[in-house]
Amino acid sequence: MSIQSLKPYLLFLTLIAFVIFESNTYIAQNEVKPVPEKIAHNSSEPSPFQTIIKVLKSPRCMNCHPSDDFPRQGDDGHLHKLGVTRGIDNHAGPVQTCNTCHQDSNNIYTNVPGAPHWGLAPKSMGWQGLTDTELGQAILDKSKNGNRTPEEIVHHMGHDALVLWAWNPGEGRTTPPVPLDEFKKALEEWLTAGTPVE
Amino acid sequence: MKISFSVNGNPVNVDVDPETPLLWVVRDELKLKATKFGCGKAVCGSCSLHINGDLVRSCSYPVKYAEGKQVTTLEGLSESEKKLHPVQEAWMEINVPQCGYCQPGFMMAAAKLIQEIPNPTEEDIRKNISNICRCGTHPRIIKAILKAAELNKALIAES
Repeated sequence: MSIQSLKPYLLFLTLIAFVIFESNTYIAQNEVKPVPEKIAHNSSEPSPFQTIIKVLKSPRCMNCHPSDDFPRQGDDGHLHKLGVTRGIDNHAGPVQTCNTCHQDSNNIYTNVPGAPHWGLAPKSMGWQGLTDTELGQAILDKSKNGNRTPEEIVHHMGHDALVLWAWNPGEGRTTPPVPLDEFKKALEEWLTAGTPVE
Repeated sequence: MKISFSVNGNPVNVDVDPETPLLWVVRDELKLKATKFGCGKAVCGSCSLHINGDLVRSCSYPVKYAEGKQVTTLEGLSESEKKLHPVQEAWMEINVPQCGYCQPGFMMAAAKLIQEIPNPTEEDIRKNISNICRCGTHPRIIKAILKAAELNKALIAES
């Protein structure tokens, strides 16, 4: 085979080599700059939404947000003892209601937990079995969340006495895995970010 | 702390630690002994009484929350000893108690039940009263509540 006959192939190979060289140069020129150490550390931390989800999925919250009609107890989420059910208005009854045993504060003698308006969340606010994203969508859905705007739902989660009880649940009960001040900070950041649910 | 409320229609004032269980105030301060201490965990129901008409486990009810409210114990369930409450009539007729310790709590729960569910079934009774009787008188309790509901209906019809 003569050099003349190889000429088209050599030209083609030269062209390919040029394209590869230029591509590498382009990638090198547009390479993502190293992320500063501080930002890189933050990016590995949970997002505000993930922080909020950690709290919402803790037993102190989930036990009273069942998707069925039975309140739960304990960190293992077992069915509430004494056969307690949702009742017609989420407060059990009609004979024995939540307030038959639960009052506005934790009881220092019986260790029965208590907080204002103790009761189950409405069934539309049932969280069992939801993925994180589904849970996020549910708490933002006005048809499920008590017709609350994102601002109102964030305010509810950061100020409602029954929600805040989770960080003061009484002896022998675990608190959510996120401190209250961090939870409140995450709520504000989540709202500012437009309440993304991922 | 001074706390004022009414018990069986009578105004009372007590000066006690506000966290004191209402049960102890009723028994020790007001000397009304029908209401009993059972488990002390708001489970067994021996300490049941009514507050503003609602059924409450008084062992788990700080007296501070009774301020201004109306408390009813078994002693005040009937209008008078001559005119007993249908639950009391039925309890005697069916001869419910064995040792009797838990019965006041059951009777207060029963009174609330026939008020809320005037025509209860056995299932209604089983589902809505979680009190515990260690003597196992539950079958007679159910009979008595069904009887009390009948008596109550007759009473309402008369009036």
